[in-house]
Amino acid sequence: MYNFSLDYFALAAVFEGLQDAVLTHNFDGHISSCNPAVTKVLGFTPEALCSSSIETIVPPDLLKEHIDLIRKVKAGEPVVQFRTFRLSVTGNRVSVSLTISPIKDQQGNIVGVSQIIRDISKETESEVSLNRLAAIIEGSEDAIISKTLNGIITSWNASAEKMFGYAADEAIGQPITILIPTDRLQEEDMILKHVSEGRKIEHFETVRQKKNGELIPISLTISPIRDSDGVIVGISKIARNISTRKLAEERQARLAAIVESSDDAIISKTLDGIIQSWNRGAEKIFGYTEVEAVGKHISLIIPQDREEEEAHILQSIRNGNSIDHYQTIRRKKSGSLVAVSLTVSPIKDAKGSIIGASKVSRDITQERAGHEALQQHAERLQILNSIAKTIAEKLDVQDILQKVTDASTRLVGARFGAFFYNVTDQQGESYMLYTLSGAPREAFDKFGMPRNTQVFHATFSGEGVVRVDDITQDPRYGKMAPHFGMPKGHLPVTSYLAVPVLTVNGNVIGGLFFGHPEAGKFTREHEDLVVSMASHAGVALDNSMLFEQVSELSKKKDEFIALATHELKTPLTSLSGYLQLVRNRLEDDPLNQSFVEKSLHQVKKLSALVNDLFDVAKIQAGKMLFEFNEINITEIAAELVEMLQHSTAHQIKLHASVPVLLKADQLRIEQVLANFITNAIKYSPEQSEIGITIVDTDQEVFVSVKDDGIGINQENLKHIFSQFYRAKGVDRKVSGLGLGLYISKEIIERHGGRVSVESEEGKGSTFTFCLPKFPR
Amino acid sequence: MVLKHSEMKLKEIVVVEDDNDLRELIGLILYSDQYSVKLLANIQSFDQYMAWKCPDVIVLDVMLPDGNGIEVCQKLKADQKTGHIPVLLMSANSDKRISGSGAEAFFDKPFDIDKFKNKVEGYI
Repeated sequence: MYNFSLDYFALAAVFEGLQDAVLTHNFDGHISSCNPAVTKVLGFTPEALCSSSIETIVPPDLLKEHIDLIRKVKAGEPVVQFRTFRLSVTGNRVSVSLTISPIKDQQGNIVGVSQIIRDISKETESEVSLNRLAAIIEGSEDAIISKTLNGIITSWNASAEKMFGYAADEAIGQPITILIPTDRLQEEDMILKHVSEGRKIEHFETVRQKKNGELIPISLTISPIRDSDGVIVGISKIARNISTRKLAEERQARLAAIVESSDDAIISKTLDGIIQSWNRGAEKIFGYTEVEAVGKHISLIIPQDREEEEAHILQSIRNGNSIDHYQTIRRKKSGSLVAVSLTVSPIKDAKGSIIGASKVSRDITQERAGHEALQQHAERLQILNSIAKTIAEKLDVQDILQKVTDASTRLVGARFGAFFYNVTDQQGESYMLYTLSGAPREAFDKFGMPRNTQVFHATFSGEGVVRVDDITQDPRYGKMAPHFGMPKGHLPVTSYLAVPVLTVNGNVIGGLFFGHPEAGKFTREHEDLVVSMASHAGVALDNSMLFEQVSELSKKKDEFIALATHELKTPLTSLSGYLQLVRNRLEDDPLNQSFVEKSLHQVKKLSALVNDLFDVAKIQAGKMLFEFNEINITEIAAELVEMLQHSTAHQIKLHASVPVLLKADQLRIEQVLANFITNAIKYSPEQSEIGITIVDTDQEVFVSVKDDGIGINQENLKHIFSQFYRAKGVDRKVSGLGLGLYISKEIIERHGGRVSVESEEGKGSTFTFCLPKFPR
Repeated sequence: MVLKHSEMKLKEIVVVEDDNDLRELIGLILYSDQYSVKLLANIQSFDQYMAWKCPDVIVLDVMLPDGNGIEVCQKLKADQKTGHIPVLLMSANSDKRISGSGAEAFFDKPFDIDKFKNKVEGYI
């Protein structure tokens, strides 16, 4: 027993002195004993725990686990170092390791259990943190390397492998200098010295070399590694590849510099329109400083009448759309308005959501002014050109004057414009035409023409342009009686511009005058425009004068033709008539009769020549008149054949009998056909046949005259219908001026028809004319 | 007032031609005991003549010193009292024979005297 008792106390001492909590409980869960360590492990006093239930320290979610464990032990199976949690007195979960053993009575029956509860929270923590650390190290995007103080690599994570290209087994055991470019080897000495002294190096930016020799910018964080005694035994090195960061940084710096130095206003704002950034350009354009603007609503710079615009812009941005070169007006701090061109783009966060808008505003006041001036200039040039073109096409003086007056009055923005134009008529009397713009004619009629006053002198003498901001203040003004200035009721002229209009030869033919009731309305540019207009007008008026002269000449020519015809024909008529009278009275004097016949023949020829000459003159003047009637070409041909047959030995045959009707000038068509037949007679041997055919198609009538004469060579054929053309190499015995075929061609063509010829030298010719049956 | 022709009275042809030789020639051509020929040199004398007489045929030159034969013809034809009188126009310019003159005949100068005489006598 003693021994037993000794054993008991020995055990009790062990029980009391254990670091682990030990308790016993029966299968009802009633704790029967516990050692003092329960306080250390769970915070309960042994007194408090004894006599309570074991479930006090079991977290409710682990109750089933606890019951299973006890059941296991009851069945004789011990539980050794089972990791779980128990509750402390404060209700905290404590990480514990349980060893549960059965308590048997003397008969060997299991009557309860003993539980050794070891606090393993410290163990778990360091274990977890170690695991976590290892995971972090392995998972880190940074290269994490440790090395000895001699610089020998002792650990190498996955990122180190990725970053430098060496596998862990390639790197471990190697000197760290494999990573250091030769020109940076001294860095390592510095690092070693630093770290050996126990100091940490943070964010040291340098360059390292990859396995393939490529250099990479990295940021190093270097710390000493100490053993448990605090002795520095190695160095840990975290290397971050900063190439991308560096780029981003550089880009940002560059962007920032651009934004700051830009003359354009660059503003960012939230989708609610709150200004978030404001560069120097914005300050310059809008007058607000960054401090004044940031945090304010963008409506700070939007004129009231354009506030809706901002809503549109923001809506567009929310929808992810940019706005480019939107020209609008913004308000400066001073309240004055500024023309800007806006480019607004959405600002997106890393996830791509639109979180705001960036806005670039360019001050286009200058640009716009330039643009407007350019546009205005272009517009004016266009007016000028179109007017120049219009008046160049016009030949009516009054029309030209009015067009020029209207256009130039518009060009210079004058209230009144007038064009005074000197005209010299046929009789040499000069008078003035004038046109007005911007004022009714009555406004001028009562004043008569502008006289040679000092004001007008410069213009009508051709001295030059007079442009005065206020004519009533001009020294030349108001010098003439009786009005001494503008007559009463005159249009109110203050701004005055007058430009002389000159002919090509430099003679003054008129003047352009402009007025405006307000002073200083006409500029140098206006002056230039009017001068340019005046020169166009001068040319147009010159042309119109020429045209009038030509028209006059043309009229005179027509009159001359008529008169000359009359004057030449009248004696011919008398001559012919008297000769005929003589012939009628020379009944029995054959010799004299033949003389008279010859004379009559010559008179006829002379008469025919005069007719041809005047026909040509009429053709050229466009004065040949036609009288279209329904004619029967077959009948006309038959009559002509009968008439001409009397005077020739040729066999003239008409191969047509059916009447062919068409609309034409009978006398002229007779003239053409007679011309063709007489030509055939002239150029073919006596007795030979001359055939006339008439072919009637639906729309046209073809009339041909065929002879078996000398024919025409190819060279002559080309020119046969030309004016004054006579076949070359043809005997000069054949008389005539060579006008017949030309006149025939003109007559036929004026009828809407065509003439043609087919010929072979030595064989004969066929002349054909074709006429439309229903000319337009 | 127009005088009525008596049955005994000879028919009368009036000729207006400004050229003296030609007027004389026409007088010679038309000379006949069957009718009388009145030769006039201008429109003024023609108008005076027409105020008193009513000829049976009128021969008019177109280009006259004091007017145009075509216009004279048109006036005659428009007048109820003279519209029925045949008018024969003569011109050196064939283009003058424009329609609308109302003339019964047109002669180009120079003309065949026999045809001319026949044509004029045809209207008597």
